[in-house]
Amino acid sequence: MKYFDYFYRDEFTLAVPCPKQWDVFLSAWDGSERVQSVFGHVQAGIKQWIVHPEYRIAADRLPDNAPLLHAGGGEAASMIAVVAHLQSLGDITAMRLCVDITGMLRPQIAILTRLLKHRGVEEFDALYSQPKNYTHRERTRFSSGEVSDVREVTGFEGVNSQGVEQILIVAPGFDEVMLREVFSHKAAVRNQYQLFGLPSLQADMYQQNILQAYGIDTPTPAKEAAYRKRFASASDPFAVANEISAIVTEVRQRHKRARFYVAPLGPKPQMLGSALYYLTETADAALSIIYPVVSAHASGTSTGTSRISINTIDFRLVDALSGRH
Amino acid sequence: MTDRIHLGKVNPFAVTAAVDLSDEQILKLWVSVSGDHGHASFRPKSPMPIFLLGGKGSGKTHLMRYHSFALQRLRHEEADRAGKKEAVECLAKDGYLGIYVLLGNLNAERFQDRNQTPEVWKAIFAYYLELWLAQELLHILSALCADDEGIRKAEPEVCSAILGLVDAAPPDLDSLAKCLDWLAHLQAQIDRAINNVLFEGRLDIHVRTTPGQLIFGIPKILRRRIPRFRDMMFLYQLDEFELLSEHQQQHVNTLVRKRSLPSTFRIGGRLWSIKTLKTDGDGEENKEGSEFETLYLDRRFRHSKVKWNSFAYKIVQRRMEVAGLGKNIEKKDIDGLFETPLLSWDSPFVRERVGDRSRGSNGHMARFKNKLVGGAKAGVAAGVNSDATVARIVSHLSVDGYALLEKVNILLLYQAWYRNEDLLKRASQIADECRAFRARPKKQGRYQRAVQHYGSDMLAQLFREERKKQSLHYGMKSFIRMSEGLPRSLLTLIKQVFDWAIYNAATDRIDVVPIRDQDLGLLDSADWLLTTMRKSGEHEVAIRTAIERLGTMFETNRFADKPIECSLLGFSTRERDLRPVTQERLRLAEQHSFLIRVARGGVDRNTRQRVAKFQLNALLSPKWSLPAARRGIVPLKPEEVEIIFDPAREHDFVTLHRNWSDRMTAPHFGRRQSQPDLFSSP
Repeated sequence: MKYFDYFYRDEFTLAVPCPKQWDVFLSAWDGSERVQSVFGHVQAGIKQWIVHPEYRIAADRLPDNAPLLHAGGGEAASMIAVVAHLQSLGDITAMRLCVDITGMLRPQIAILTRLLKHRGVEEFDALYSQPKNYTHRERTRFSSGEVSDVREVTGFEGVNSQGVEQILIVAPGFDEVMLREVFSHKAAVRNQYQLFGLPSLQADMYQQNILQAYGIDTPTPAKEAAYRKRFASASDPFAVANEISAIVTEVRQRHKRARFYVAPLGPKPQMLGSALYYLTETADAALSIIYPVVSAHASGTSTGTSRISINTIDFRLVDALSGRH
Repeated sequence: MTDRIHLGKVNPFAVTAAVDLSDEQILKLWVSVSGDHGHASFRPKSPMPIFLLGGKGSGKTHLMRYHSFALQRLRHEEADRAGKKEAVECLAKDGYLGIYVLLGNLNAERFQDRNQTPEVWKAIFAYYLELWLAQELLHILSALCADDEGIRKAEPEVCSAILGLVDAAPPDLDSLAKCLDWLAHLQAQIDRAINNVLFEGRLDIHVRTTPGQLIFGIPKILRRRIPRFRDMMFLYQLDEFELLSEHQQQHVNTLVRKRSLPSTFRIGGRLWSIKTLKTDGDGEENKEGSEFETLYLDRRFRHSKVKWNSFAYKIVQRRMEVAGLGKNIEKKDIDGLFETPLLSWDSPFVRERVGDRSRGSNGHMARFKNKLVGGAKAGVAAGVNSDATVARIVSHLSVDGYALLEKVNILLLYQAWYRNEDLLKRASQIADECRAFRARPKKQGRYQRAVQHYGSDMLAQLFREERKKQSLHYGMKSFIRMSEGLPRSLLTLIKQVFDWAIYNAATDRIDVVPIRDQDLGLLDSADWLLTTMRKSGEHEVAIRTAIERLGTMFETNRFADKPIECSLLGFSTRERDLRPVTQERLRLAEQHSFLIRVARGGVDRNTRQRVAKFQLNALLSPKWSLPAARRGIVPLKPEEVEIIFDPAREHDFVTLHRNWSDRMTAPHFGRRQSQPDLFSSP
């Protein structure tokens, strides 16, 4: 079991000054109130907007209070471009960097994390601001396009092997279409875990989450027993990584060579936590992060800003955990 | 079986997908299709590659896994309890070795993009598939080696020959276990290289085999070196073909074309799984009949109702027996488990539920009377010129205690009204016909045919008027009909019905599943089918919209004053005149089993062109209170189908639907156009 409790985490609200300052602050524009207010609130030498074309936001609705970096060309190429841009701003290994993952697309969060590690960054802060609510509560759809495939996130593919037990760990979000696509894509995987965000971002969101997740296929309670339920704080990537590690360890005691698929569909810290856990697996990791490919993502799905967390991603700690089982 | 079966608190149909079943369960639940003794359709010993295509839950995986090595071995262990025969001897008796592969385990979607050309990915995928299938085969061989002296003796020789097929193989791998480790190592190298290509900027993979070298080479070696394999067919069974991209399928097609004995393929996938028939090289397409054959699993049942009926009862019976609900369960035992009320015009169920309660101001007779008065005022009701006439007509059509016959009477009058006949005269005739029918209900005649054809629609109307939400599809026979030849649909339907029965039951013992739980289960099954559509990208919304629109139109017809078709569940159209995008959507809707193509098309009355006929999957019927069995098919013009299948044309659809409804509604009946355009204003 790998413990991610060693990672540093802090929280603040917009009512108080941000406890840290950075050289560069990156944030992805999604039009939501929380992303805008946090961008204005934090202090950084350089502030930079990333624009994901997948949100399909019209040019006249883009911000003009900081430079824009259009992150097109697909999830991997766009993040390579973002890192190249950071490198053009200075030595990224010495840079005090903060990335607001609130508005970023989920696969991009994972890829950027791995890229930063690969480029020699020792640590960076990943900021996440919690919403007061989602616009359509448990019916909120985060994808506005249609799912064309479910794929492993680039750079987070595991080694395949034959005749081994397969495990699907899904952190269900509110978007039931994505959830159904993941279950359908890995229909052959019999061992399934659902990792719910608890404590949830807001008190009622756990119930909303359960409503959506159990609404799949049948509303009767029989289905409930079929999934193994696990819980990790929805806003804490390290708690998510801890819980994934607990599941993996538990399964490996029974099936030494099990093959894992992790689908973090809920709040962004779940994707960050999954990516962190992946980075601590060895080169022969039999674990993949999977995510539905959608033609477009919905922007501005939340209202209000609640607590804001600063999660320090320390790659030295990641390396230290890599050797453990 | 003499005692009635009863259901406890555990649903015997909880698992409906074959991938969720263990090898032992697959074996226990296996039911051969009647007339398919010796697996005539799968033909495991035939060298001809076969594509097994079918809708979700048509039994592909069950059929393939049943012919896989794991199940072959289990079967022989069961048959030979003394265990005297060695496994390989039993395989030799079968004459084939089933190498079952779930293509989903390859995660084949990783072989694309990342700044590499499609050609590079194709080459790497081909190599990966070689290594994967070789490992699958060696795993089986390794399992056989443990209990077969002959294989053990030949092991070093076989390993050496296999390594000879791979470029720069290490010389010291003299056991199957070592060979397997090495192949797994080569495959993991590819996985790692792909995973790191983004970060390292290069894809460093040494391709050590040519396509087919291991896949066809290893069986040849085994046939040559091990006498028991001499007459054996090596059957690569590739399941989930839809998960491969077009380029990857092209590679598999090439393997199918260039197959070399003793190897061949069985390839399973959804109806829409085949993205290309092209092969590598000159891009020539594989031809059905010469390079491969296709077995359409669900069509097989749809073409033979008798076979489907018998097969359906058998799979349900087997499940119940395996779940311990009884031994030697018979059809009547299964039938007896579901409350199945008679729905005929004179049945106690119908009379009790809707018998005499239609007399109020909201009843059907009062509404009919209002329409008649309205029609008379507008001067469009021939022969109706006074309140007294209206009263006489109403009196002619009334049948005390038999609401269903009253509805049929009203319908017949609406039909006459549409034809501008004298309504008083016609009402009197209808009264006579009705009396004659009640006296001799089995005597064939116009009235008897009307009851037979429209009874189901009129009954649905009566229940809706009574605000009773009931699908009116009860019992095994209805469930079998609604499952459209798809075993998983049937199993899912029964699962949902049992789920509700167990959930709502006050006791731990359920002798008969009440109609309430059947209704709830049917509605859940319809929702389940609608959510089975996957990864159709932009077409998904269009197809779901089209299905919703068709359902709404058919519902309007079923509950209209004068339905244009009885038990309407289908439409015909000149498919060739549709835009390519609409044709594609129609094809996808069919391949996802939302629409069922009616085997024999027809000829358009006006243009004499051939038309295609489609029926809405009856499993969806409860969503719109539609019939479970199709009787009527309505012809739709290509431009009408275009509107229905285009989600952006909502406004046009509203017009189309309004005109559709007007055509069936008294007193104006869409101004009685003989062939109205559905989307032109009345």
